[in-house]
Amino acid sequence: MRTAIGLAAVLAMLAFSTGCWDRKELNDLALVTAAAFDRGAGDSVRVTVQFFIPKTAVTGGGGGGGGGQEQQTATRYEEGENIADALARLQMKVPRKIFWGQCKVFIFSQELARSGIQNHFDLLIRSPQFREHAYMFVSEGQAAAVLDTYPPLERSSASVIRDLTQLDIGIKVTVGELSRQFKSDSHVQMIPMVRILPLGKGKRAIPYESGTAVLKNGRMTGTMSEGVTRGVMWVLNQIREYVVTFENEEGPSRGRVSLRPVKASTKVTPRMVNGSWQVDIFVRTQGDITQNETLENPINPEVLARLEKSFSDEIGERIKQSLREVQRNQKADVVSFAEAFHRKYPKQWEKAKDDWEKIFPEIKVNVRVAARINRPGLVNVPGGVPYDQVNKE
Amino acid sequence: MSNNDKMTGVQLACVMYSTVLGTGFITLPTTSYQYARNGLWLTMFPGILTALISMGCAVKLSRMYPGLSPVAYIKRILGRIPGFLVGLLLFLFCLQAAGVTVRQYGDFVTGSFMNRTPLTFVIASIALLAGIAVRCGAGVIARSAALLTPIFVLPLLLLVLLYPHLEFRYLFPPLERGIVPVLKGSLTPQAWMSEVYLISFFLPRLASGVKIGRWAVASIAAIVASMFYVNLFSILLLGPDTGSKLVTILIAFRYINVADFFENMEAFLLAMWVVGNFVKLAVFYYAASMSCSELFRLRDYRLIVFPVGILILIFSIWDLPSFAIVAEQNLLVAPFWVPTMMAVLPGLLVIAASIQWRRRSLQSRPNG
Amino acid sequence: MGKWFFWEVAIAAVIIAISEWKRLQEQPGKDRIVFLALLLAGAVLSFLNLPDTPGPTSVMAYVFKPLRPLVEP
Repeated sequence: MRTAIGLAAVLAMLAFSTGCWDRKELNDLALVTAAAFDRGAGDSVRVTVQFFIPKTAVTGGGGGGGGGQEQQTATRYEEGENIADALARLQMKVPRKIFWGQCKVFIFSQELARSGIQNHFDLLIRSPQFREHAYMFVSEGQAAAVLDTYPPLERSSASVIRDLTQLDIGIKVTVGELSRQFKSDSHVQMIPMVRILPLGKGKRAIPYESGTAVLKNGRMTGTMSEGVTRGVMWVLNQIREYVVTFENEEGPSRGRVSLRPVKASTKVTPRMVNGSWQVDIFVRTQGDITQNETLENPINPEVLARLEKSFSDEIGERIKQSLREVQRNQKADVVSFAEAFHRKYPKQWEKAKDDWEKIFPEIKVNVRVAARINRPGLVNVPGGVPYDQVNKE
Repeated sequence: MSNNDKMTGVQLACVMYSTVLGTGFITLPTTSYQYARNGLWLTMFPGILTALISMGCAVKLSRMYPGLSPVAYIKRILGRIPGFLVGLLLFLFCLQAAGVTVRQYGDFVTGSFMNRTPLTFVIASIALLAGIAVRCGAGVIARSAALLTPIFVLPLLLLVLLYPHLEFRYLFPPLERGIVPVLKGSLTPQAWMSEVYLISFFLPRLASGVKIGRWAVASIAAIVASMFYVNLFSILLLGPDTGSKLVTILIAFRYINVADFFENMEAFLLAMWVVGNFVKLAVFYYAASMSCSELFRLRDYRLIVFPVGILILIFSIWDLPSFAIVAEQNLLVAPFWVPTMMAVLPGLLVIAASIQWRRRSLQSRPNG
Repeated sequence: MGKWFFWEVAIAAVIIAISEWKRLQEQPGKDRIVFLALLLAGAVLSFLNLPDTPGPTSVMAYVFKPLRPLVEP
């Protein structure tokens, strides 16, 4: 008898746990994959959210964003006095509960960023429904337009930019990271820029990361090109896996040589010399040859030494150029020299911190690079030429 | 020492095979091709002579001083201070050779397969593994060699799959520039083959009744045959392009494609070469540890195994800033330095020892 | 390499010393000295910028320089 009751109870529980409840739950949610913030009419802000359309619902038709049969996302927007207000209004237009747990991308339009994002950013770190690991971007034009692209390979434009960012080619800024930047000594923030790469006609386009927006106290003041951004990444020790191409300027055979993957570690040492602010940057970097356009055979130690010299000169030059741009034109301490000085010279920093914007462009920077080429790849002599054309010493 | 620690003949042969070819397969074809060109397939034969000298000396010395490892009999033959100095040189040689071995292995693994893994990590992990084996004793090294050598050799059979791509015309004209380039090309292989002398560190642990000579000749024959096979396939497959490849066998394995199914075989190659290099490293490591222990007459060599391992790690990067220097070392220095320690030195030891024995027997005759 | 390598070696040396401590107590004094000397040598050497420090390779290149003409192509 007891067994029978037990069995019945188990069967009943099994019936309840077949997932009907879960399905109902999911069906009640609208999963947000990305959100974009533009300036609305007057003083208002316009919030555009991108929803993920579950597979079963795709045939039922998209949302407010745009047509097309294969697309798996839809966008909807609403204006409000601030983001929270706009989101409350947006919920009135969306029949399901808006769910932010999957939202990994926030995009501010350049226009909005130039007028300042501090007030909007507060919501993103205060409200528990948003994730600190979501990535931040600034779009070149309308932020909503980025969400309104429908990439051919990925599920959504949000996942395209997220995946591109995770390749570590440009900088990567999450909500949590930006929150720390706001509290930094330099009062300067960096957010990667996104642009739209059109792929033929129609809405088949993908967003991609290109350059960096520079903000001072949350107000965007300028942009850095990709090249300058990378120079800054060298200083910030953010070079992970990277391709470097340089011109072999030493020796008889000129030509380009590419290295991959290039790894680097950078040490920034601030110095006070007779009251003047100086920074020593020491970069150790190494990579494997991946393409050799010269006629040199890198297996020869002397040739290799020349290549390494060209390599280190190239890196040094890139860093110097970027720093020149950052110091003279942007006048923004994106390289976190302020922290370095604060840590090493707390007293002097205390006096100087209010004038930092004036001091930073005047800092003298010494760059030293120790570059090493680790391995030649699968072959030693240049690939496309016969032996007798290879440069012999 | 338990009975399990006695080595058999097969184990002895496997130890020798992997010791020579662990890095030999990586380095030798490319290095030899620089000189020998399409005579590459002949370059290993002069090495037989060096290998026989090294082997003969190792066996002879182990018979004259049964149960003693090299540094111990060096001290006995040369006297205390000269013996200590020569023993120290042998110790440093083993350290340095072990360092270069792991370095070549590490460069091969990180350069061709695992681009993101730091070199020191690859080197340190295999050194730790070898260290554990060395600590467990000669018997464990010998048994793992016997177990692993088949795994090390088997992938070579896959090269047969390349036969549709082979071009026999690459062998012609044979000996275009005479025999001298081939002899120059054989300098590095013979240096590698002289490393069979390291077996003398294991001979004291050999089970009694094993016919050493037979197994020694068998292993030398296997080494020569494998080198011949690999070099021949390299030249038949790649022809004049052989010299530009850093690791010829790797390229050969990347060529393998049977019915679009047997492809990307180089992953096998990596997995299996790890074991070959492990044995080679363990042998040099053991030799270094034993030398050091005998040098200072320590009670138990196992105590210093891990400190010696750290020194091996240091020798794997010390004064070797780039692959170009390692390659230069293999090309210009190793052909002389390795046989000096592994063939000439044992030869001199045999001569010195025989003179001592004769003098001793002459002295003892009138008395007896 | 830099100081990382030194710390790696130093930590490894400490781990080795700790794990061998018991065995070390049973050995005669000379064995202990050799053990510590080897570890110390490793730690000291790792402090240098090893790849660019002249060492065994340079010595051998110097010793065998006269023989180079034999092998240079």
